Amino acid sequence: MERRLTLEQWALGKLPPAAVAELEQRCADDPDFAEWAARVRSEVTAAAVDLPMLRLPAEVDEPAAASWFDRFSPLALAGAAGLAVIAFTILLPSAPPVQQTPTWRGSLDVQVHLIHAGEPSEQGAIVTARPGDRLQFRVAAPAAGTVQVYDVQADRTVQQWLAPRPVAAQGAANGAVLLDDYAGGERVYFVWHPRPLGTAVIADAVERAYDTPIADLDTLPGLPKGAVQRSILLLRTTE
Amino acid sequence: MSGLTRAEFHELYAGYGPAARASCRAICGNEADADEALQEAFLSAWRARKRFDGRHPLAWLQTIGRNAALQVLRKRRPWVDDPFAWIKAPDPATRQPQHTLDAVRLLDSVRPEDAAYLRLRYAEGWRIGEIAEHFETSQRSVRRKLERLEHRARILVRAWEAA
Repeated sequence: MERRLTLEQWALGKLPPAAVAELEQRCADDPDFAEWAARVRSEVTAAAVDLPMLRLPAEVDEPAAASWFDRFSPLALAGAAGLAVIAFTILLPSAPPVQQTPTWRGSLDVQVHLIHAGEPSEQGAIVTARPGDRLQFRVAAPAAGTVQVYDVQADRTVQQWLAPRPVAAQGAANGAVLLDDYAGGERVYFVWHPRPLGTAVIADAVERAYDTPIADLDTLPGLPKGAVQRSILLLRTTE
Repeated sequence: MSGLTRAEFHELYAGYGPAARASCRAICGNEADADEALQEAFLSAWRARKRFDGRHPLAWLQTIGRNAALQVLRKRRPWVDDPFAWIKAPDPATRQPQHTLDAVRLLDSVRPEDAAYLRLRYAEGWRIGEIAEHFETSQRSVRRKLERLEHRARILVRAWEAA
């Protein structure tokens, strides 16, 4: 199946002649494909018109979150159920960066950074990491209550990454984890609730969705009323 | 590629920027927000350039661009001006101000990724496979998400029609 990325590269003139010839032939044989390719080409071509000037800083700026990193001191925790050991670090910053991002109604305001080779990068809904990378997170509380973070692996093993932590209104909970070499995908669930939610509650919710692969289970069903959650999908690469 | 110079980075921008801009436009729905996302994306890429191995520049930039565009959605909520560019709308001739408020409320209640899915599918005409590829997820996941969102939008439209 052709990828949009390939069509974009074609539109940008980045494909070798053999690949271009192949795509041209495909367009000649398949009108539906030709229409798709034409649409992508049109989008990219239009976007090339008056491309704004790129403004780079005079010096490389470190992201505001960098100040968190100096405060980490890794603690080792024993692995559970025969799994690889995960080094788990709890961060208690004295002055977390002020965030202007609004809390999203019906969801949780979560910021995730991945630190690879000492370099932080902000992450979205899907994180691709290498063993040994560090995952940092910051969960903004929509109201006074507790924040807890759980990791659910593809084999549905549940691990607690952040024990229920009381947070004040407008407060936030921070944490970090050193990633192991677990080969399957996993979901990290960030959950706020007025009361602490233990591992058993999360495990029940995971079991309730027994027919849904973890990769597709972006929200846990049946959490106690009032729970607000958000999840990210965590994948490993060895590249 | 850890030593990407400014000149090389500007070349990267010139060479691949249009594709990233096209995706940002598709997600944000307007040029101003898309260009803000584009600038933020390339700034993030510049900061992260030491991590880039140089092998798949467009995939790398599109991932960063997607995240930047979603951040803009999170901050700006561009559907506030015209929610019916994001979800299927009732006949303009019968549209009421309350419909606009309801549509905005619906889009406010979903995650930015979900709003982006709606926009890409129904306003931009992206295929399910394109959306899945861009968000690095499965086509099944995209379909299910769109079905749920469409279901909610249909309930809303039925309520409008019944009123």
